Amino acid sequence: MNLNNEHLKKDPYLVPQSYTDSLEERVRASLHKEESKRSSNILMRLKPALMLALMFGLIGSLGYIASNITDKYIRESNPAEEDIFVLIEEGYLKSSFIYSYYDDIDVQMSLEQSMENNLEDEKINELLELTMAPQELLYYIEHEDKHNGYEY
Amino acid sequence: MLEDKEILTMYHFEGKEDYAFNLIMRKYSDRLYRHIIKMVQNHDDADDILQNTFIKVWRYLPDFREDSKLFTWLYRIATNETLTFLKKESVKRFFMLSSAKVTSTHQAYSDPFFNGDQIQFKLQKAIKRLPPKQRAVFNLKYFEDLKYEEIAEILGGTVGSLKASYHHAYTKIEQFLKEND
Repeated sequence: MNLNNEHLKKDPYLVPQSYTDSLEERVRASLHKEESKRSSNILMRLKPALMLALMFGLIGSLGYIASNITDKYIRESNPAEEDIFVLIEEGYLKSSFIYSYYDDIDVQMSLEQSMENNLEDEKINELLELTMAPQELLYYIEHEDKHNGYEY
Repeated sequence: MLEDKEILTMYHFEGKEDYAFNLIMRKYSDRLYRHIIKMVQNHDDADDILQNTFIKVWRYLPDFREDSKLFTWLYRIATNETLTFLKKESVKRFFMLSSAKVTSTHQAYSDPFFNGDQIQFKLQKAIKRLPPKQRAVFNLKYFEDLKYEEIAEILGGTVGSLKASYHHAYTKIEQFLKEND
Protein backbone atom coordinates (compact mmCIF):
# COMPACT_ATOMS: atom_id res chain seq x y z
CA MET A 1 0.00 0.00 0.00
CA ASN A 2 1.43 3.32 -1.05
CA LEU A 3 1.06 6.23 1.30
CA ASN A 4 1.19 8.58 -1.66
CA ASN A 5 -2.24 7.28 -2.69
CA GLU A 6 -4.51 10.34 -2.84
CA HIS A 7 -7.45 8.34 -1.47
CA LEU A 8 -5.55 7.82 1.77
CA LYS A 9 -4.99 11.56 2.11
CA LYS A 10 -8.74 12.20 2.32
CA ASP A 11 -10.04 13.03 5.78
CA PRO A 12 -11.90 9.95 7.05
CA TYR A 13 -13.82 11.83 9.74
CA LEU A 14 -17.11 13.70 9.35
CA VAL A 15 -17.95 16.92 11.10
CA PRO A 16 -21.38 16.39 12.69
CA GLN A 17 -24.24 18.42 11.24
CA SER A 18 -24.93 21.77 12.96
CA TYR A 19 -21.87 21.10 15.05
CA THR A 20 -20.63 24.69 14.86
CA ASP A 21 -23.97 26.11 16.09
CA SER A 22 -24.13 23.84 19.11
CA LEU A 23 -20.42 24.39 19.77
CA GLU A 24 -20.88 28.18 19.96
CA GLU A 25 -23.70 27.81 22.49
CA ARG A 26 -21.72 25.41 24.64
CA VAL A 27 -18.57 27.55 24.57
CA ARG A 28 -20.61 30.62 25.57
CA ALA A 29 -22.26 28.70 28.40
CA SER A 30 -18.83 27.49 29.64
CA LEU A 31 -17.39 31.03 29.48
CA HIS A 32 -20.36 32.41 31.41
CA LYS A 33 -20.00 29.69 34.05
CA GLU A 34 -16.28 30.34 34.36
CA GLU A 35 -16.76 34.09 34.76
CA SER A 36 -19.37 33.74 37.50
CA LYS A 37 -17.16 31.16 39.22
CA ARG A 38 -14.19 33.55 39.02
CA SER A 39 -16.11 36.49 40.53
CA SER A 40 -17.46 34.34 43.36
CA ASN A 41 -13.92 33.00 43.87
CA ILE A 42 -12.60 36.54 44.23
CA LEU A 43 -15.30 37.29 46.80
CA MET A 44 -14.58 34.08 48.67
CA ARG A 45 -10.87 34.90 48.77
CA LEU A 46 -11.40 38.48 49.93
CA LYS A 47 -14.01 37.60 52.55
CA PRO A 48 -11.61 36.43 55.31
CA ALA A 49 -9.33 39.44 54.80
CA LEU A 50 -12.30 41.81 54.88
CA MET A 51 -13.68 40.16 58.02
CA LEU A 52 -10.28 40.43 59.70
CA ALA A 53 -9.95 44.10 58.78
CA LEU A 54 -13.48 44.72 60.08
CA MET A 55 -12.74 42.98 63.39
CA PHE A 56 -9.53 44.96 63.90
CA GLY A 57 -11.36 48.16 63.09
CA LEU A 58 -14.11 47.30 65.56
CA ILE A 59 -11.69 46.39 68.34
CA GLY A 60 -9.65 49.52 67.68
CA SER A 61 -12.76 51.70 67.78
CA LEU A 62 -13.99 50.09 71.00
CA GLY A 63 -10.57 50.56 72.54
CA TYR A 64 -10.47 54.21 71.51
CA ILE A 65 -13.96 54.87 72.88
CA ALA A 66 -13.17 53.06 76.14
CA SER A 67 -9.92 54.97 76.55
CA ASN A 68 -11.71 58.28 75.97
CA ILE A 69 -14.41 57.47 78.51
CA THR A 70 -12.01 56.26 81.24
CA ASP A 71 -9.67 59.16 80.63
CA LYS A 72 -12.52 61.63 81.03
CA TYR A 73 -13.64 59.82 84.19
CA ILE A 74 -10.18 59.97 85.73
CA ARG A 75 -9.85 63.67 84.98
CA GLU A 76 -13.21 64.42 86.52
CA SER A 77 -12.71 62.39 89.71
CA ASN A 78 -9.09 63.36 90.49
CA PRO A 79 -8.11 66.62 88.92
CA ALA A 80 -5.29 67.27 91.38
CA GLU A 81 -3.59 63.95 90.66
CA GLU A 82 -2.49 65.02 87.20
CA ASP A 83 -0.98 68.17 88.55
CA ILE A 84 0.85 66.22 91.23
CA PHE A 85 2.42 63.99 88.59
CA VAL A 86 3.53 67.03 86.62
CA LEU A 87 5.30 68.31 89.72
CA ILE A 88 6.93 64.97 90.34
CA GLU A 89 8.16 64.79 86.75
CA GLU A 90 9.59 68.28 86.95
CA GLY A 91 11.51 67.24 90.06
CA TYR A 92 9.80 69.61 92.44
CA LEU A 93 8.51 66.81 94.63
CA LYS A 94 10.48 64.06 96.25
CA SER A 95 9.34 60.50 95.60
CA SER A 96 8.50 60.05 99.29
CA PHE A 97 5.76 62.56 98.68
CA ILE A 98 3.88 59.97 96.69
CA TYR A 99 3.62 57.68 99.67
CA SER A 100 2.58 60.50 101.98
CA TYR A 101 -0.03 61.46 99.42
CA TYR A 102 -1.71 58.13 99.77
CA ASP A 103 -1.56 58.33 103.58
CA ASP A 104 -3.71 61.44 103.54
CA ILE A 105 -1.06 63.67 105.06
CA ASP A 106 -1.52 67.37 104.41
CA VAL A 107 -0.58 67.60 100.77
CA GLN A 108 -0.26 71.34 100.75
CA MET A 109 2.17 71.39 103.64
CA SER A 110 4.28 68.61 102.17
CA LEU A 111 4.42 70.44 98.88
CA GLU A 112 5.56 73.64 100.51
CA GLN A 113 8.21 71.89 102.56
CA SER A 114 9.63 70.19 99.46
CA MET A 115 9.92 73.31 97.47
CA GLU A 116 10.75 75.98 100.07
CA ASN A 117 14.53 75.93 100.06
CA ASN A 118 14.98 75.22 96.35
CA LEU A 119 12.78 77.66 94.54
CA GLU A 120 12.16 81.32 94.35
CA ASP A 121 8.95 82.65 95.77
CA GLU A 122 7.54 83.42 92.39
CA LYS A 123 8.04 79.87 91.19
CA ILE A 124 6.57 78.42 94.38
CA ASN A 125 3.49 80.56 93.91
CA GLU A 126 3.23 79.46 90.33
CA LEU A 127 3.29 75.83 91.31
CA LEU A 128 0.91 76.32 94.19
CA GLU A 129 -1.56 77.86 91.81
CA LEU A 130 -1.70 74.55 90.07
CA THR A 131 -2.74 72.71 93.21
CA MET A 132 -4.64 75.19 95.32
CA ALA A 133 -8.12 76.52 94.95
CA PRO A 134 -8.22 80.31 94.50
CA GLN A 135 -9.34 80.90 98.12
CA GLU A 136 -6.57 78.71 99.43
CA LEU A 137 -4.03 80.49 97.29
CA LEU A 138 -5.17 83.90 98.54
CA TYR A 139 -4.93 82.70 102.11
CA TYR A 140 -1.41 81.41 101.49
CA ILE A 141 -0.20 84.61 99.89
CA GLU A 142 -1.69 86.71 102.69
CA HIS A 143 -0.02 84.59 105.30
CA GLU A 144 3.22 83.94 103.42
CA ASP A 145 5.15 86.64 105.17
CA LYS A 146 3.96 85.29 108.49
CA HIS A 147 5.42 81.89 107.56
CA ASN A 148 8.65 83.60 106.63
CA GLY A 149 8.63 85.82 109.64
CA TYR A 150 7.36 88.91 107.96
CA GLU A 151 4.25 90.83 109.02
CA TYR A 152 1.96 93.12 106.99
CA MET B 1 -16.21 34.92 5.21
CA LEU B 2 -14.13 37.85 6.43
CA GLU B 3 -10.34 37.88 6.37
CA ASP B 4 -8.49 37.30 9.66
CA LYS B 5 -7.21 40.87 9.68
CA GLU B 6 -10.74 42.28 9.41
CA ILE B 7 -11.98 40.03 12.21
CA LEU B 8 -9.11 41.08 14.47
CA THR B 9 -9.68 44.77 13.67
CA MET B 10 -13.32 44.29 14.64
CA TYR B 11 -12.21 42.64 17.88
CA HIS B 12 -9.48 45.07 18.94
CA PHE B 13 -10.67 48.41 17.64
CA GLU B 14 -14.39 48.36 16.99
CA GLY B 15 -15.58 47.01 20.34
CA LYS B 16 -17.30 44.00 18.72
CA GLU B 17 -15.50 41.32 20.72
CA ASP B 18 -18.41 38.88 20.93
CA TYR B 19 -19.26 39.14 17.25
CA ALA B 20 -15.59 38.78 16.21
CA PHE B 21 -15.16 35.75 18.47
CA ASN B 22 -18.24 34.12 16.94
CA LEU B 23 -16.79 34.71 13.49
CA ILE B 24 -13.53 33.02 14.52
CA MET B 25 -15.47 30.02 15.81
CA ARG B 26 -17.49 29.76 12.62
CA LYS B 27 -14.45 30.08 10.42
CA TYR B 28 -12.13 27.65 12.23
CA SER B 29 -14.18 25.16 14.25
CA ASP B 30 -14.47 22.62 11.39
CA ARG B 31 -10.79 22.73 10.58
CA LEU B 32 -9.72 22.53 14.22
CA TYR B 33 -12.20 19.71 14.90
CA ARG B 34 -10.73 17.66 12.03
CA HIS B 35 -7.21 18.26 13.30
CA ILE B 36 -8.09 17.24 16.86
CA ILE B 37 -10.15 14.17 15.99
CA LYS B 38 -7.32 12.76 13.87
CA MET B 39 -5.16 12.98 16.98
CA VAL B 40 -7.58 11.48 19.51
CA GLN B 41 -9.76 9.43 17.12
CA ASN B 42 -12.86 9.87 19.27
CA HIS B 43 -15.67 12.41 18.78
CA ASP B 44 -16.51 13.06 22.46
CA ASP B 45 -12.88 13.71 23.38
CA ALA B 46 -12.38 15.90 20.31
CA ASP B 47 -15.49 17.91 21.25
CA ASP B 48 -14.23 18.51 24.81
CA ILE B 49 -10.79 19.52 23.58
CA LEU B 50 -12.23 21.89 20.99
CA GLN B 51 -14.42 23.59 23.61
CA ASN B 52 -11.41 24.04 25.87
CA THR B 53 -9.48 25.40 22.89
CA PHE B 54 -12.03 28.13 22.22
CA ILE B 55 -12.28 29.00 25.91
CA LYS B 56 -8.53 29.58 25.86
CA VAL B 57 -8.85 31.57 22.60
CA TRP B 58 -11.39 33.85 24.27
CA ARG B 59 -9.13 34.28 27.29
CA TYR B 60 -5.93 35.06 25.34
CA LEU B 61 -7.31 36.86 22.30
CA PRO B 62 -6.90 40.30 23.92
CA ASP B 63 -3.14 39.61 24.11
CA PHE B 64 -2.78 38.25 20.58
CA ARG B 65 -0.51 40.70 18.79
CA GLU B 66 -0.47 39.06 15.35
CA ASP B 67 3.17 37.94 15.65
CA SER B 68 1.94 34.88 13.79
CA LYS B 69 -1.07 34.21 11.60
CA LEU B 70 -4.35 33.74 13.40
CA PHE B 71 -4.79 30.17 12.13
CA THR B 72 -1.30 29.05 13.31
CA TRP B 73 -2.05 30.59 16.71
CA LEU B 74 -5.36 28.71 16.86
CA TYR B 75 -3.73 25.49 15.74
CA ARG B 76 -1.04 25.93 18.39
CA ILE B 77 -3.64 26.21 21.15
CA ALA B 78 -5.65 23.26 19.80
CA THR B 79 -2.53 21.07 19.45
CA ASN B 80 -1.30 21.94 22.94
CA GLU B 81 -4.72 21.14 24.41
CA THR B 82 -4.73 17.82 22.52
CA LEU B 83 -1.21 16.88 23.59
CA THR B 84 -2.08 17.73 27.21
CA PHE B 85 -5.19 15.56 26.95
CA LEU B 86 -3.22 12.62 25.51
CA LYS B 87 -0.58 12.96 28.22
CA LYS B 88 -3.26 12.84 30.94
CA GLU B 89 -4.85 9.81 29.29
CA SER B 90 -1.55 7.91 29.24
CA VAL B 91 -0.96 8.74 32.92
CA LYS B 92 -4.50 7.57 33.71
CA ARG B 93 -3.89 4.33 31.82
CA PHE B 94 -0.64 3.81 33.71
CA PHE B 95 -2.31 4.11 37.13
CA MET B 96 -5.62 2.45 36.31
CA LEU B 97 -4.41 -0.49 34.29
CA SER B 98 -7.42 -2.74 34.46
CA SER B 99 -10.27 -0.26 34.44
CA ALA B 100 -8.78 2.36 32.11
CA LYS B 101 -10.98 3.79 29.39
CA VAL B 102 -9.15 2.75 26.27
CA THR B 103 -9.77 4.72 23.14
CA SER B 104 -8.91 2.18 20.50
CA THR B 105 -9.07 2.52 16.79
CA HIS B 106 -11.60 -0.29 16.89
CA GLN B 107 -13.84 2.24 18.62
CA ALA B 108 -12.89 4.81 15.99
CA TYR B 109 -14.04 2.46 13.23
CA SER B 110 -17.42 2.00 14.87
CA ASP B 111 -17.67 5.73 15.67
CA PRO B 112 -20.61 7.23 13.71
CA PHE B 113 -18.38 10.09 12.66
CA PHE B 114 -15.74 7.87 11.06
CA ASN B 115 -16.51 7.89 7.37
CA GLY B 116 -13.54 5.95 6.00
CA ASP B 117 -13.07 2.51 4.49
CA GLN B 118 -10.94 -0.44 5.63
CA ILE B 119 -7.74 0.99 4.21
CA GLN B 120 -8.28 4.35 5.84
CA PHE B 121 -9.04 2.52 9.09
CA LYS B 122 -5.68 0.72 8.88
CA LEU B 123 -3.95 4.03 8.28
CA GLN B 124 -5.64 5.48 11.41
CA LYS B 125 -4.52 2.44 13.37
CA ALA B 126 -0.92 3.01 12.21
CA ILE B 127 -1.07 6.71 13.08
CA LYS B 128 -2.40 5.85 16.55
CA ARG B 129 0.83 3.97 17.26
CA LEU B 130 2.96 7.09 16.78
CA PRO B 131 4.01 9.20 19.80
CA PRO B 132 1.63 12.18 20.16
CA LYS B 133 3.96 14.90 18.91
CA GLN B 134 5.11 12.84 15.94
CA ARG B 135 1.45 12.08 15.24
CA ALA B 136 0.75 15.83 15.11
CA VAL B 137 3.66 16.43 12.72
CA PHE B 138 2.49 13.63 10.43
CA ASN B 139 -1.17 14.74 10.38
CA LEU B 140 -0.34 18.40 9.72
CA LYS B 141 1.96 17.51 6.86
CA TYR B 142 0.17 14.49 5.37
CA PHE B 143 -3.48 15.50 5.64
CA GLU B 144 -3.32 19.31 5.73
CA ASP B 145 -0.21 19.74 3.59
CA LEU B 146 1.14 22.59 5.71
CA LYS B 147 4.64 23.91 5.08
CA TYR B 148 7.31 22.90 7.57
CA GLU B 149 7.71 26.56 8.57
CA GLU B 150 4.02 26.70 9.50
CA ILE B 151 4.27 23.41 11.42
CA ALA B 152 7.30 24.86 13.26
CA GLU B 153 5.16 27.85 14.31
CA ILE B 154 2.47 25.50 15.61
CA LEU B 155 4.60 22.87 17.32
CA GLY B 156 7.90 24.60 17.85
CA GLY B 157 11.22 23.08 16.86
CA THR B 158 13.31 23.59 13.77
CA VAL B 159 12.33 22.82 10.19
CA GLY B 160 15.10 20.20 10.07
CA SER B 161 13.89 18.34 13.15
CA LEU B 162 10.31 18.39 11.85
CA LYS B 163 11.40 17.00 8.49
CA ALA B 164 13.25 14.20 10.29
CA SER B 165 10.22 13.51 12.51
CA TYR B 166 7.89 13.33 9.51
CA HIS B 167 10.25 11.03 7.65
CA HIS B 168 10.44 8.64 10.63
CA ALA B 169 6.64 8.66 11.02
CA TYR B 170 6.17 8.01 7.30
CA THR B 171 8.58 5.06 7.41
CA LYS B 172 6.92 3.54 10.49
CA ILE B 173 3.45 3.79 8.97
CA GLU B 174 4.55 2.31 5.67
CA GLN B 175 6.16 -0.58 7.51
CA PHE B 176 3.01 -1.17 9.56
CA LEU B 177 0.76 -1.12 6.49
CA LYS B 178 3.03 -3.60 4.66
CA GLU B 179 3.01 -5.98 7.65
CA ASN B 180 -0.77 -5.78 8.02
CA ASP B 181 -1.73 -5.90 4.37
